[in-house]
Amino acid sequence: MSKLLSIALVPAIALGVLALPGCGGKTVVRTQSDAAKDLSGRWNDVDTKNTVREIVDKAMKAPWPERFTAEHKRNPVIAIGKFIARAEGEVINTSLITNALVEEFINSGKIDVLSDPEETRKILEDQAAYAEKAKELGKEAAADFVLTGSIGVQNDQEGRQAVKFYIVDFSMTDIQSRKLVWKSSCTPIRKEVEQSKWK
Amino acid sequence: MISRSLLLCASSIPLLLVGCKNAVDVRQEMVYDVQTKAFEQAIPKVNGLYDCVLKGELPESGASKVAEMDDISDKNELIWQMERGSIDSMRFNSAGVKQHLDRASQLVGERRTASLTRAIGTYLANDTAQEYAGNGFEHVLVDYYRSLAALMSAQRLQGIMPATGDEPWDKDTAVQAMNNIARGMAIERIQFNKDNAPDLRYFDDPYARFIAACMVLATPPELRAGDDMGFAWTMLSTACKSYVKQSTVLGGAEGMRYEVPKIPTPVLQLTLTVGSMYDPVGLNTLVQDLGISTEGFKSPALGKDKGMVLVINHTDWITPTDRLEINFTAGIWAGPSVSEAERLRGVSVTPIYAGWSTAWAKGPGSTKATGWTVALAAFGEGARLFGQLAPGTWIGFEMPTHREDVPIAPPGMAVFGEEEQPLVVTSDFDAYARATLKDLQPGVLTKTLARTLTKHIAAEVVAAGAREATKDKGAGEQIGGWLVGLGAHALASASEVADTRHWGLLPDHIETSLAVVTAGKLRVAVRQANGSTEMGDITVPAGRLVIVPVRTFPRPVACPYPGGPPVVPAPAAPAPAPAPAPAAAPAPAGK
Repeated sequence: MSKLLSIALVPAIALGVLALPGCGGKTVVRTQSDAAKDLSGRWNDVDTKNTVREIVDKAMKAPWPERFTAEHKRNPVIAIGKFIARAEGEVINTSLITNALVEEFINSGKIDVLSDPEETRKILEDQAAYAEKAKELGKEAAADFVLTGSIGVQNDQEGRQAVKFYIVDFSMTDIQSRKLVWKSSCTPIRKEVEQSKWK
Repeated sequence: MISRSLLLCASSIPLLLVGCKNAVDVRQEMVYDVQTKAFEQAIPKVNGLYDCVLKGELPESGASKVAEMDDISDKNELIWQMERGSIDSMRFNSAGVKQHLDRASQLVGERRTASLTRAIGTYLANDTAQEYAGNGFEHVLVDYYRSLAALMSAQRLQGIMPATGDEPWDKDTAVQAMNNIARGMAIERIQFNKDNAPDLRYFDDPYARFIAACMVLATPPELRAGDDMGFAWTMLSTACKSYVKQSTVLGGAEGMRYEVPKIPTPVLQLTLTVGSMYDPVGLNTLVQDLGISTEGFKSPALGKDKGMVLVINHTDWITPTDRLEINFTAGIWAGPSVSEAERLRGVSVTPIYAGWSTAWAKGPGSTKATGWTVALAAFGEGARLFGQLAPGTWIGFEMPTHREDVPIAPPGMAVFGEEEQPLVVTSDFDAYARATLKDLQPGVLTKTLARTLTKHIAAEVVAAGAREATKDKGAGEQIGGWLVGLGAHALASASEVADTRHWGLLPDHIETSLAVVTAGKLRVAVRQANGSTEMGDITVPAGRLVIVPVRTFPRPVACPYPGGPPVVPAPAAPAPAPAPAPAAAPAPAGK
C-alpha cells in the first residue's frame, strides 16, 4: 500500500513543483518619470516624450519662426491641430502629445500657442473659411499657423515575431495663405517584439 | 436505469457538493436570460461558471452576499471577460465593453504563449484544468466587438445616433479606436491565426476585413489618415478573395453548414463603390480575377446629399459545445435516461450490450460514437470474464461535441425609411466554431484516451492491491476491498469531464444590408418572420457610412427552466437598448 501511495505522490509533487513559479506577491518599484521600459512594444509614454521633444527642437531650428518674427515683429501664434494615429490594434492618446506640445512651445518663448480652446476649434473646423472671415472683418486671425501631425505604424509580422516601425510626420500650414511652410518627421521608432511559444 | 449523472453523483463526494447541474445546463440558462434581457440574472451565472466576480456583484446565482472585492480567477478570466463583454455589447454599454474586452484582448496576446505547466497539466489532470485560451475566430471577434463599441460611441458623440450617457472616449479617440482596433483585427489577429494554426481549415475572416473597411468609411473626413482609403480598398479586395476561398474550404464540409454566399451582396456593393472611386483599374482586375459579374450592382458616387447605411444583424445564438459521454459498466446492464432539458439539446443515448456488461454513448448525435462503444463493450466484457475487471467497475470519459447543424432561418429585410432591402448572411460564426472543434478533435481525443488509460491503469493497481490485501479476510473486508477498487475507477471516470468552455453569447451568424440613402434623418428597422426590431431614427451625414448594429432572435432558444423562467425584479439598465424581436418558436436542437 505504501508503495502505491508513493506512486500516487509522484505526479502530485511534480504538479506542485510546476505550479510554484505561479506563486509570489506583487512588487512595486518606483522609477524616474523618464525611465524607458517597453512592456508590449506598443506606443508608450517615452515615445510621446521623445516625439514632442523632437518636434519642438525641429520647429525651433526651422527657418519659418525667425522669418515670421522678423517680418511681423512678434512671435508667431500657432494652433495645435489634430494628430491622427493609425496603429494596428493600438489606441494612442494623442491628447497627451498635443498637451505636451502646447507646454513645450510656450516654454520656448519663441512661439506662442493659441490657448483658447473655442478659437482653436473654430480654426480647425475650417481653416480656409476662418481665415477668410478674419480678413473680411479686417482683423488678424487669432493664429498664424496650424500644426498637424500623424502617427503611422509599419508592422512586419511573421509567426511570433513582429517588428513595429512608428513613423511620426508633422507639418505647419499658414492659415491665411494655406501654404505649407514646414514639413518634417521624427526619427522613426523601431521596436522588435518576440513572443515565445512557451513560458 | 443507471445514468452517468447518477453514477457521478453516487461515486464522487466532491461532485455531490456542487450538485448535478452541469456547466452545459448553466450556460443554457445564461443564454436564455440574456436573450430575455434579464442581464442582472445572467451576470451571477457567468460569474459562477467562471469563478470571477467584481466588487458589488453576486459571485454566483443564488448567492446571498455580494462580493466585497474583485476576485478574478486566472484560469477562466479570458472567457469570463468575453461573456461579460457580450452582455455589455447587447446593452449598448460601450464603457462595459471597453472594460471587459480590452482586458480580453490583452489576455488573448498573453495566452498565445503556451504554458509548460498548462501543457503537462492537461496530460495529468483534465482539459478543464487548463487556462482557457480561446480559439482563433474568437480572438478576432474580441477585437470586432471592441471596434463596434468604439464606433457606437463615435456615432453617438457625432449626433448620428441618440446619446445614451457618458462615453468612455472623446470623439477623436473613439474614431481612432474604431479604426485602429479594426486594423489590428484584420491584419495582426488574422495573420497570427494563419501562422499558428496550420491544422485548422478556418484561416481567414473576410467579414473582419469588410468591417475594417467600413470603419474607414464611417470616419469623418477630417479624422481620416492619408492611407485610410488605400487600406479600405485593400481590405475590401482581400475580403472578396477570401470569401471565395472560404466558400470552397468550408462550403459543403461534413457535419456543418457554411451558409455565406460566395461574395455577399453588401460586400460586393461596397467594393464596387470604393474601387470605382479609389482604384478603377484595380477594381477591373479584381472583378476579372474573381470571375464575377457586376451587372445589376449599383456603385453610386456619394454626392453632396447622399450617405450610406449598413445594418448589421447579429442573429440567434452560436451552437453551444456539448458533451459526448462514452461509458462502460462491467457486469451491469445500464441504460441511462435522457431528461427533458437534454432532449431539447438533441441528446440521445446509444447503448451496446455485451454479455453482462454495457457500453453506451450519450450526447448529441450519440450514434456517431457507435464504433467506440462496440469496441469498449467487447473489450470490457472480455476483461470482466477473465477476471481483470471487477463487476460494477465504471470506465468512462467525455469529449466536447456539437449538436447537429440545421439551416439558418431565412433572413428578413432591413428597413431604411420607406425602402426595404434584403438582409444577406455575411458571416457564419457557427460554421467557424464547428470547423474549429472538428479540426481540433483528433488532438483532444488522443490526449483524453492517453489520460483515461493512465488513470484506469492506476485505478486497477489500487483495486488489485485492495483485493490482494483483503483476499484472506472476512466477507465484510472483502466487500470493502471491492468497493475501494470500484471507487478508484469511479473517481478516474468522474474526473474525465469534457472541456465545453466556449464563448456562448456569440450570435450564430451575421446578416447585413447596405443602402444608399438621402442624407438626414432616417428610420432604421429589421423586419423578420417573427416581428420587427426598431432601431429608431438616425442622422446620416452626406458622403459617409453609418453602421447600425442590431441583435435579433428569429429562432430563440427555448426556456431551460422546468417551471418557467424565474421572476426577478427588473433592474435599471445602464443604457437603453433596442428591443430584440419578440420570441417565436423555440430553436431546433442544432442552433
